[in-house]
Amino acid sequence: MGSDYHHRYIKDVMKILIVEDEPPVARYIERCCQNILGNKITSMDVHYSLKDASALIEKKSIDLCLLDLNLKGKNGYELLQSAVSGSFHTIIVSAHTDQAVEAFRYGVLDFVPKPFEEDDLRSALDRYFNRVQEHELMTKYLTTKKGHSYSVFPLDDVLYFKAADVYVEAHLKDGKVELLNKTMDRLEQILPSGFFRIHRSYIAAISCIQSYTHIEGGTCKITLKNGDVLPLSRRRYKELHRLMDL
Amino acid sequence: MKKAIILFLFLVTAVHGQGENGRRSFHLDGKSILYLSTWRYSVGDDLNRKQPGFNDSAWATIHMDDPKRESRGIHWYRTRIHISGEQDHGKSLTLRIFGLPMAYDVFWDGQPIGQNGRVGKNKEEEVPGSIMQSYPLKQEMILPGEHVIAIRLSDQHGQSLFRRCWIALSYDSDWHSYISRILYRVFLWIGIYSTTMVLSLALYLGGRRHRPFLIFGAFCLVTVLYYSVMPLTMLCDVHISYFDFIFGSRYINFLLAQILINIFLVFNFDHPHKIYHIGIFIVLAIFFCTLNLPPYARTKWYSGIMIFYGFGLLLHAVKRKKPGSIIAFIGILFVTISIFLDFLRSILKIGIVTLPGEYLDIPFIFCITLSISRRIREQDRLHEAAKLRSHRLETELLKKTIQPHFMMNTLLSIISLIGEDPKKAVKLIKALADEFRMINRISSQKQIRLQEELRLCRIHLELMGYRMDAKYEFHVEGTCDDDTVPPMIFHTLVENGLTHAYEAKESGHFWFECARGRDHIQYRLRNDGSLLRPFSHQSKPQIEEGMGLKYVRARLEECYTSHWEMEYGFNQDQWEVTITIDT
Repeated sequence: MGSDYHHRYIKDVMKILIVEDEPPVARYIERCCQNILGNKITSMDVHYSLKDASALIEKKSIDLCLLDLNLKGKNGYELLQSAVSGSFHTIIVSAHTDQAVEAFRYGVLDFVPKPFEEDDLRSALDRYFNRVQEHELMTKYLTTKKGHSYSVFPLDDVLYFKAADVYVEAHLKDGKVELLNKTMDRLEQILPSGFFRIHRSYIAAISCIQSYTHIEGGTCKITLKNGDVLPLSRRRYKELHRLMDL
Repeated sequence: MKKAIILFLFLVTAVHGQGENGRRSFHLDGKSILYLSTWRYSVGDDLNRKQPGFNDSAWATIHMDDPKRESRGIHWYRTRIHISGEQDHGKSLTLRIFGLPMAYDVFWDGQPIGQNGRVGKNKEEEVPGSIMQSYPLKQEMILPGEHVIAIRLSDQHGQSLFRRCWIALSYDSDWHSYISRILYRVFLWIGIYSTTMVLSLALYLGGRRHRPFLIFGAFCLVTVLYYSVMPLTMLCDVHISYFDFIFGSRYINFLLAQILINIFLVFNFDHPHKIYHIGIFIVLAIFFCTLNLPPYARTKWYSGIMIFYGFGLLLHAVKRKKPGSIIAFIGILFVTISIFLDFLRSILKIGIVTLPGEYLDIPFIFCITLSISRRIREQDRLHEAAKLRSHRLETELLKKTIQPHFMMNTLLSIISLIGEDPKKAVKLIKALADEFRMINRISSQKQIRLQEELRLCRIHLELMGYRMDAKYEFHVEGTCDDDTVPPMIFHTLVENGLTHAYEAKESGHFWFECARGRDHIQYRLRNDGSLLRPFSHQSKPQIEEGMGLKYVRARLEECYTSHWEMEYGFNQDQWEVTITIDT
């Protein structure tokens, strides 16, 4: 797993959901995906409304959602929240470029402005497979789903993330814990550079790190400003050391 | 104000006191005009009555201003005056009689000194005279001591409606300086008001037909007419039969001036229920005309009430923060003081110089014109704002249709169709071009023909059909082809319908109906989209009005200012928007 950090583990096959209310456009997106990804696609579903799409998500796990923000005049913000709170990655395909900044703040993987050609979609899909340039990430908020509603909290409030089964716990500065519906890997993909993967199961906010020490037996640990102690893997230790020296 | 009232009461009592004692003393060294207001009066004819020694102690005492002199026939007036002091031989003393109907002979110490017309026992015999007569007194007649003036008069031709008479004794030089001062004042007023009238009329015609200018101009006109009759009687030898006409017009002009200034206030400050206010003024005027009061008392009462009314209107305007209302308030205050002083002057019969009220008309006019221009400036501002709003609507229209996402989405639709159905792609491009060409043509118009609007709806439905893999049909019922409507209101409603009521690939129908009532036109637009149907059981649909509906409302308001209505809801499972416009 030497290349784990630089080239994260990504499934080679993927399940795609297209949410687009114009049938010809939906078919076009479908064709593009087919051309780009070929047999990497294990399933591809097209839905014209968010209601149908949500019903699908309940039943079936997906990896990537290509979402049009303004479906039937519905509030794009609400759609965005519901999309980014899912366990999958979201690429927005929309003509509403004015909403791009906000979409990025909520942690979408990419924003493809309409109209687009196949190559535009290709570079967006590339992001799914490759870690994007850190400075490009603008995620400022995370969204969690609580029952039927969504709650949003700023990323600045987060001390660290901890993997818990298929979920991720976000431990906040005020002691609260929020449950995120994303895997550690997918979360890491959308987090900006202020966060550091210290362990397979932990991501910490660099600004909250008080100290890190090398303990006997090859294990390391990190003490956060609030006193919490987190494990630090050896390989990450060097990485962190280099990062902190800068 | 309190001081003014006290002063007023004091002066009134002073005048009355004077009346009782009969200030009948004329000092030859002095400089004054002696009004002979108290007289002995008796009906009947007897030439002995002219004699100074005649005993008139049994006669009734009357006051010149008292209108209750019911007499048809010959009657007599007698009064005594005491002359004192040294005679100035260079000056001549004259007795002046004004407004006494209809014909009379005047005797000084039993000697006839003149006559006006011819006194007669009946209508045929009587010859009415002039309104004003003057009788110079010879020097030997005005020796110091007591003198008796006797007047034998007849009014076979009836009394005048507007009794306004006075008898005065003065040196000619005093009298002429008094008259010239009056005329100076009157001509000043006539000059001021006629200039203002012409100016107001010019501002009305040359400007944006701002009604208060016209009303104020009319006010100035009646004021000029009001002031014009006075010099006429002073300067010309006017026959007494014109008395009623002259003073009647003066009286009516005074009433009209009161009404017009209040109408002006109603219009200038845009009071609601204008017609009711005007109605009240007229009803009040009629009411006062029918009152059993002497005409001058009526005008005084009416004027008082109208001034109060005017202040009420002004206070209301000030309260509503109408621009120019405070200035107008000050202006009306000036004219009120002026009228009040005028009133004092008339009851006191004192020289004009003692009261400076006449110049208050200048600040009055200044304040009123300033107030009008303030209002105009405000209206200009509103007009500019409305123009700006209209421009904004136009821009909004363009933005709404050429808004980037509509364009971008349509372009992507074209890209999508090129691959799978190039012919359809071409049709879509053509529909897009048609729609844009049309929008470009109508965008700057405030109203377009309904036909054009409906064509635009059809084109849009065709275009959206290509985009949504559906077919939308547009049905028009009723004929209103010649109607004009604000641009893109139905287009917007059709667009809304497509967005909210139809699923992808769901074909449908739109119905446009137009019905003409007696005083309104009603347009109905409904669709059979499936998405809204689940809400059709709600009696009052709870929808948040988006940009589209706001645009439609703004357009309707711009075109039909509150003479329109828009309703929406379900009609047998179909979403329906109804627009009613009053005609």
